[in-house]
Amino acid sequence: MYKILSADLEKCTGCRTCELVCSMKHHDEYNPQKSRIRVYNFVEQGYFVPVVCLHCNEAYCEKVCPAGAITVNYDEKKGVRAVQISKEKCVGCKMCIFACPFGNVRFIEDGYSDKCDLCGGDPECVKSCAKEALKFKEVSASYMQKIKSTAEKILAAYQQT
Amino acid sequence: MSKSKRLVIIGNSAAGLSAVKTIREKGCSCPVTMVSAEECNAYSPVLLTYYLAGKIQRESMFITNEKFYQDYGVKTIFGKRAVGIDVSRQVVQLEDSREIEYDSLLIATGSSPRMPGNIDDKAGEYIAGLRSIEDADRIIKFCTTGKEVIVIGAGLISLQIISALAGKGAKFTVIDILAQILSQNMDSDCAAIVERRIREEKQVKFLLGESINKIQRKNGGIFVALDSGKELTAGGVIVGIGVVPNINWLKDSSILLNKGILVDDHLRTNFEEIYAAGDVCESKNIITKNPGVIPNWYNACEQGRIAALNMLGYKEKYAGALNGNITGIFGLIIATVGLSKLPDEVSEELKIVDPARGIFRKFIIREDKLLGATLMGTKNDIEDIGIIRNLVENSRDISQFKDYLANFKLNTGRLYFFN
Repeated sequence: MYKILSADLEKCTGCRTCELVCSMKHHDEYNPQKSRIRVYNFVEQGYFVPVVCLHCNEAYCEKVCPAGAITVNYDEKKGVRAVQISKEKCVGCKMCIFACPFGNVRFIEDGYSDKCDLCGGDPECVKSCAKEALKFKEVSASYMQKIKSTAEKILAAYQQT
Repeated sequence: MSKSKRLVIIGNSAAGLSAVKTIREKGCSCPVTMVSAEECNAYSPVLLTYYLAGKIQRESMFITNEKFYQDYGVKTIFGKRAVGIDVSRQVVQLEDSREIEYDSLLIATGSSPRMPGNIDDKAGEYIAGLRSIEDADRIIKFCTTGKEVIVIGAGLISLQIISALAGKGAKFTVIDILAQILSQNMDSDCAAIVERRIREEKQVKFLLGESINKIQRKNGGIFVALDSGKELTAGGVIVGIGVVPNINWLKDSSILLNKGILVDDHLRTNFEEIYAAGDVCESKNIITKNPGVIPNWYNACEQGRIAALNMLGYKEKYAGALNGNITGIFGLIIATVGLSKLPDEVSEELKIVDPARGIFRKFIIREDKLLGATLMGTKNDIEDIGIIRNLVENSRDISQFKDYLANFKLNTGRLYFFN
């Protein structure tokens, strides 16, 4: 059982502190442009949607990386499973950006692709989320089932359109 | 499926490796033999331009090592070229007359650079496409002599090579038969922005709308005559006019060939137990539905996976190959997917052009389906290419996102939560 980074849309206020702390942690500046997590505001609907790497079970980015720079790493002790980009191995070819259907791999600084690595198991964004909309926790099988059925509903609604 | 099914893969690059991984990930323990004409472990041709630029070492291009093949239980026969297949006896013939028996075979022999005609036999060492490490070494050699270098073909690979080597002393003259650069990748408006950016680099000249008459060796260099009568001398010639599938060795095999190996929706050839994947195969284009060779790393990985699944009996259908590329040249990031020009009169285009900032976004839409996109810019201007690629590849209805496409506002939130 691994922890997952989850976002509660009912709780997110769109304050975007997570973007600031993320950019500070990984790029040494408070700059939402350089954040790996991004919050999209839907003012009319009154919702804010934080979006970050899903650490896919079968990661598109990992499969296409021609440099072997993307790996799925497990830390059994911490209960963390992260799809990570090695900055050293990445040549900046951007194939992963082409492959990620969620737009969650970014090209922030020249030379390498950038994405959430779960901060080694202690995500900065979660720690800074005042409303506790972002959580990093182990989830039960029943919770996963709930997520899956919600996803299926979204998919069904989507396919109707 | 019986445990003893012997799987043979010819080719040790994207498609072949993807197939090996898939076979083992599915828990199949069949013996797998991989044959490759190259002596070395697998390396990534995508990384060759980074090697040219000196950004990475030779060793960093290798994506597998001995341990990889051991871990995946692959018997390797490297440095031996396959020269034929006897389909009736189900054996692959190697150049050293060895025969490898198979129960299921994957042909993933890739492609080679297309070469212009009328090349003098003795000019070989001064002419290179970019496909192998050997090619890269040859290019480095003649680009560091201080002499002019002629580049034939103004496509993406040529410009990537020039971008990698620009500023290292060599001067380049780019020759293309068409008046527009990157004609396979984008429309003329976008190409004009790129061309202007490259012309700012003083070491690149263009000779567009010119065709090659002959290429000869001359005084430790190269002499090129154009059909227009112009004559050029150079230290070497880089050729980037596309690739041709490596199928010559199959001419006598009764496997159906066109430009590449013909395959059905399951990437199976006209023989039940023979599959093809990667640059060597001619598969269905996901957008036009016509067969064609669309050589790129992304397609090769996916085709290798699908072919392997079918070899294992999963009956997985291949959706089709996708035109697409993403690359950075001269400070611009160019990402393309699907069509770049209007295919017919019912299609429409949505376009934003900002030449001063080097930004270009164009979408080809037909009946609420996205058929293609060209994105250009820097850093985060192209970050949504993955989302857009997904829309094109799965021909999703985009009527509700149309307004957001061009102005950068299409994002995951929009796509998956609010329509």
